[in-house]
Amino acid sequence: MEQRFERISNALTLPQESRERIRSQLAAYERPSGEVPRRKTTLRSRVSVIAAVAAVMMVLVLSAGAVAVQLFRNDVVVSGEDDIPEPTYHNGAPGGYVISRPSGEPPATLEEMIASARMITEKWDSEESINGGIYGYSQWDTLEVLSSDPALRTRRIGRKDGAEKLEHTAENPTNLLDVLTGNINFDLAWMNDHYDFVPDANMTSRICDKSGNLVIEFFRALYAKKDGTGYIDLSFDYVAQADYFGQAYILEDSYETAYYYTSADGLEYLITMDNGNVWVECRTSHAGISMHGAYLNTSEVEDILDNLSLAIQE
Amino acid sequence: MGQETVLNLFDRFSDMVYRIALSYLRSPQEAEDVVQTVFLKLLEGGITIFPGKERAFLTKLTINHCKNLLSRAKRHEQTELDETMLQAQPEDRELFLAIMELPEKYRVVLSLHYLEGYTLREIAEFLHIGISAVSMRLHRAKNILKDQFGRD
Repeated sequence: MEQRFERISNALTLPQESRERIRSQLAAYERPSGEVPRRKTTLRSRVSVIAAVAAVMMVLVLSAGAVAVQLFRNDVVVSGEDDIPEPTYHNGAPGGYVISRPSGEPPATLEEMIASARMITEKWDSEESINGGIYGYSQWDTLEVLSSDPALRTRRIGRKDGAEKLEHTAENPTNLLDVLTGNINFDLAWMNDHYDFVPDANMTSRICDKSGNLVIEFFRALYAKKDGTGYIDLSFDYVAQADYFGQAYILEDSYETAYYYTSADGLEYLITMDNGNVWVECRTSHAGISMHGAYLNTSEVEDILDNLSLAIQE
Repeated sequence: MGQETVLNLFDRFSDMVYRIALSYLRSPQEAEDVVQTVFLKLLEGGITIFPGKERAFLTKLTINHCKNLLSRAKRHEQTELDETMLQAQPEDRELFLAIMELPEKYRVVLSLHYLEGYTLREIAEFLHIGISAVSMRLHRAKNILKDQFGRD
């Protein structure tokens, strides 16, 4: 019977047509260039920029069911690559890792950020913009605009198998709170008092699979400092099933500032700063709280974190 | 990870990823989606894989992704497999379909061991179960198949 298994293994291959299709797709893949430099070079952030939804949790490899408690899976700050543990089958290291580094570029201007964010809405009625999504949800077939009211636009994007993406944009991000599922709860009242929201740079996106189960939910809002000297871009995502992946590391010397901060809500954030950029990350089993800001100091960042009243359902 | 490296890994391991995904999902279409997803992750992730760990890493990534898909779907729809998907002798095709009809926990262990050549210890670590559990599942899976196909 072993010989028959071997023959089956040899015969059971990816169909040639699919192999060529997938290989072509991989070969044609282009990393985003000329994008507004709003993110660190991490997997999560790239996906966010490309597809306007965050997609993948970079977390330690753990068993699929062992995530009942809230665990923080932020990047680990190490002094050098030698400190990154070699994978073994016993230390949980997955055999691969990511090192996040700043690009060295100064932050985008507020005008560039607004222009970038508004790309989300400018093709609101166009089927040209319906493709793009998260892994496994990269192709869509239908688009239906449910509301074009600028206060809260809504559109439904569908796929033949029944999977669905529901998108909302709003002039005021507060209008988006009511359409969120509640897996990530937060309050924008303090933000609205201390920063100016940027109209039409705010959106949510929710993808459900063909059975109607939540796959991922994404929220984004852009706020400018009242004196116009800086901004903060908030990106929150919730992945229904954590996608176990690799641990990411930060080399401590690669950023001007890198430290962990625990907010008043008890969430652990990794705050990094470089050349005017500010990045804030809090990753849990299911959620990713990401922020990118420009020309904010640590006190201003910590004030934001302490006043969001963030709670994550794990 | 560079595009060339990912394409190289794709050429070397896409069939393995496909087979593992198929053993979990029993759907050629979904298994193909998994292949695409796994390698796109490599491409977008800026990942470094320790030299020599590529195969194990991709196996682990595939297993976790499949588990997530199944868990997400809660009740995974069973797909009727097209027996012509395996270009093989009729008797091997029959055996393949019988493997696919095994309960998932037997199917996956048998596939990892006999189709991918992993040791019981490696499978235990991939699946976070004991070696004895792997051994038992393998034994039961083979017994089921032997009952159907004889002791050859």
